[in-house]
This record gives sequence, C-alpha cells and structure tokens, in this order.
Amino acid sequence: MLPGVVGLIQATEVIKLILDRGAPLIGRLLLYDAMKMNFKEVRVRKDPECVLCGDNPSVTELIDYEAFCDVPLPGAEVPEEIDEAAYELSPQEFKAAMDQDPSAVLVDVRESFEWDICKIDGAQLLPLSSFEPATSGLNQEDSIYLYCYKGKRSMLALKELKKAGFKKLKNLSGGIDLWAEEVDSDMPQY
Amino acid sequence: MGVVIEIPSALKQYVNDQDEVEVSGSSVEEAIGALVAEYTELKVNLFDENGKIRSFINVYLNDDDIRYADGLKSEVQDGDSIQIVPSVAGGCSTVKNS
Amino acid sequence: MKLNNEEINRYSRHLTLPEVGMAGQLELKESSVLMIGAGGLGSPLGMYLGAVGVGKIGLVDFDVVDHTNLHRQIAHTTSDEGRPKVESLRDTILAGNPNIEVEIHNIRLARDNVLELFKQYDIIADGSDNFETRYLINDAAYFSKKPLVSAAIFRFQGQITIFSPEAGGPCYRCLYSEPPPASLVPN
Ligand SMILES: [Zn+2]
Repeated sequence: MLPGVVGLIQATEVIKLILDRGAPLIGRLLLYDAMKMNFKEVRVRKDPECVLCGDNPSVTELIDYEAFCDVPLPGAEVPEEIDEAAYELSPQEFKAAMDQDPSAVLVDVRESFEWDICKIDGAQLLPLSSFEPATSGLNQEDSIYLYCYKGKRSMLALKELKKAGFKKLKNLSGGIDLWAEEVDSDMPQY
Repeated sequence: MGVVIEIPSALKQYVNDQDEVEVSGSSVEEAIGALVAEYTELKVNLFDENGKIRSFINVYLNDDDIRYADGLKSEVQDGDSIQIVPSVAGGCSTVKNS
Repeated sequence: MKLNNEEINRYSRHLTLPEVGMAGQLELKESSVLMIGAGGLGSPLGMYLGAVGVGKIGLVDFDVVDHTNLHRQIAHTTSDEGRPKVESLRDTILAGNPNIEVEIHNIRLARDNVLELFKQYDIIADGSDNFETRYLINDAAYFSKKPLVSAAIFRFQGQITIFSPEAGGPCYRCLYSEPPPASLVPN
C-alpha cells in the first residue's frame, strides 16, 4: 500500500505545478514512514558545488550512467574471484549429487522470512546476513550444498567457506526458484 | 535526555531493527560516533575511508542538512533529533532477491 | 481549447472549486506529463492524473505485468499478466477517462532517447526503480529545463520531492552527489 500513498502525493504535486497553486515540494524532501505513520520534511538546498547545476558544472551533457552507478565500496572486502562454474550444479544435478552423497549437508542462506515461504527438505538455515564460516557449525569434512533464492547469495557464502578452507562445496544454480520449476512442482514460487 | 538518531529502514538491520537510538554527545560527530561504537557494522555504511559521511547518505539535524551547518562538527543539545536519510531508488518496493 | 459538454459535466466538481475553475481545468487539459515507471508508483499516479484530466500522459516502462506485481501495482489486474505494463496502465487510465491522450513508450529509457522524449512533455514524473535511471532522468530534466517530480520508496518508507533548478531549486545531484555502491543497494 505504500506506493499508493506515495504515488498520490506525487500526483498532487504534479497537479499543483500545472495549476501553479499552493506550495510545491521544491527544496523540501518529504519523508513518509508507513510503520510509524508519520510524515517528516527536511530541507534540500541547491549545492553551489553541484557538478550539474552548480557554479562550475563538470557534467555538461549526458554521461555513461551505468559506469557512474557501478561504484565499488571502498574498504569493503571484495569477494574472491573464483571459477564459479566449477561449483554450480543444475537443480537435477544438485539433487542427484546430494542423494548419493552420505556426507551431504544442505544449507539455505536466505533470510528467515524467505525460509517461512518455502524450503528444501533437510536444509538448515544460515542467513547470509549473519553468515560466518567459523561460527556456522559447518564441518570441513562434510560436503556443503548451498542454495538461496536465485543462486547469487549462496555463491557469496560459498566463497567465504572456500576462503575458510572448505573444499567440498556445491552451489544450486538458479536457486530455490529454479528448483521449484525443475525439481519440485509443488513448491510455491515467490 | 539525549539526542535521538532516527534510523532509516535500509540500515535498521545493523541496529537490531530499532527505528531510533538515543545517544549522548555534544556534536553530530560525537552522537553518531556513539552510535557506531555500539553498532559497529553501521560504520562502513555511514562513513568513507576518510571518516566523511558517504555521499549517498544525508544527515539532518533538526530537519536541516548538516552540510550547510558545521558538518559533523555541528553542535547538538539534548532533545535534538538527527535523521539519517539514505538515497533510495525503488519504484514499487519489490523484494527482488538474488 | 474548450471542454465539451461531457467534460464539463465530468469535471464539474473541479470547475466549481475556485482553486481550479474553468481556467485551471483547461490548463490541465493543455498540459502533458511524462511518467517513468508504470509499476507501484506509476499505477496510482497515472490513474489520478488521467482522472483529473491531464491532457497528455506519456508512459515509459519496458517491463511486463507479473503475477507478483498485482498486490501493489493496482492499475494491473490478473488478466493483464504477461502484457507490457505501459499497455495495461494505458487501458486502465483510458477506461477511467477517455477524453485524454495516453502515449506509451515500451522502451528502456537511455542516453540516446531521453532528451527527444522529454522535449514532448511539460513535466517529468520519476517513479523508476534504479539509480542509473534516476541520475539519467535528473540530468536530462535539467538539460531540458523541465521540472522533475520525484518519488522513491524502500520497504515502508517513501521520499518525495520536486527537482526544479529552473525555479531556483536543487537537483537530484544536489541532494545525493553519488549513488550507493552496488553492493550496498538494498534490493
Ligand atoms: Zn544540482
């Protein structure tokens, strides 16, 4: 319902601009919080150093926005580059490998609200947001089968495990979403 | 009574899901410093490697941007409120997971 | 430009408001608004702009209606699944008010099409869902000298403002000079 409220405020501001009536939200940022059910307003000023509309603009034509928005986080750990394909298994391969592997341990790295929607039988939940190989309780002797929603977050967890010395690692390519399509047709997709 | 720092939902996960955290301090820097001392994961999200507030995060002291006051050195008093407002870009609040 | 009798009847509660009146209603009819995003924000935005009689509405989106959109993108209904969002939203707007014009642009907004598109409208309304598009729209609106009514949401919080350097106000880059690193963008 949040987009309804915000979209209608946006519509109101558009109409006011057209009619040139009232006080427009220029120079003011309206913050709406549905949980607290409050509105706050903060002041937004024109920045004289703005690269676009400031006194000495350096952006004088459209730029490459993909490159502009692709900024790495300085100081943050960059996940190790590994040959990801070597760890990826399709849903059928993943299931077959697990079924005949006595040391298989299945790990779900999604968040608990996703776990509540659906999960693969036999999995244990270790959300990526608090994932630490050392405190995960996982054992390096076991084969760790990882999955998430689409397969990206579980690859991040896989890299952390690899760095911590784990060797037997597999990732479910396409995640539980593809699993629901190709292995378990009774599983809901979200 | 201290200074209340309002936490945006994008950063709530780092402060045990609280909406606001009360701290003490006599400047914005001290107040936010007290916050990140308690919730260390917040630090890399708020500050760059030079200790400056990241450019996609604005900090408002009583509804005005601290960039146009004394920045992090802006003085605060008990009862003031500090609002952290990150840049968001959603158009339909999808939970698109990876 | 004049209103026909059906329009006079339809907008009569507006025409009797001193803040709008016949002059205001004609201004609405003569105006044009380009909306980027035909999803959660675009649904109510487009439906209301259409209902109140904005003469020309442009819709930009390249997505199709998905089952998981239906619970909040209220212009789209179950039978719209799989259709381009711009078509579905256009039909909903025109069902509400057939007196207006809705132009659809089933494209991804980009550097090579944005300025030409902005030229054809008076006001830009941003309800897009990523930073690249938001900075592109901001810069293009600035170069085109068009006011930009911007709304963004994240979980249970929304942010709304107008960027209008032409009117002495700030732009999006004045508010946030850079986007967050991709690794920090909450999705
Ligand atoms: Zn600017």
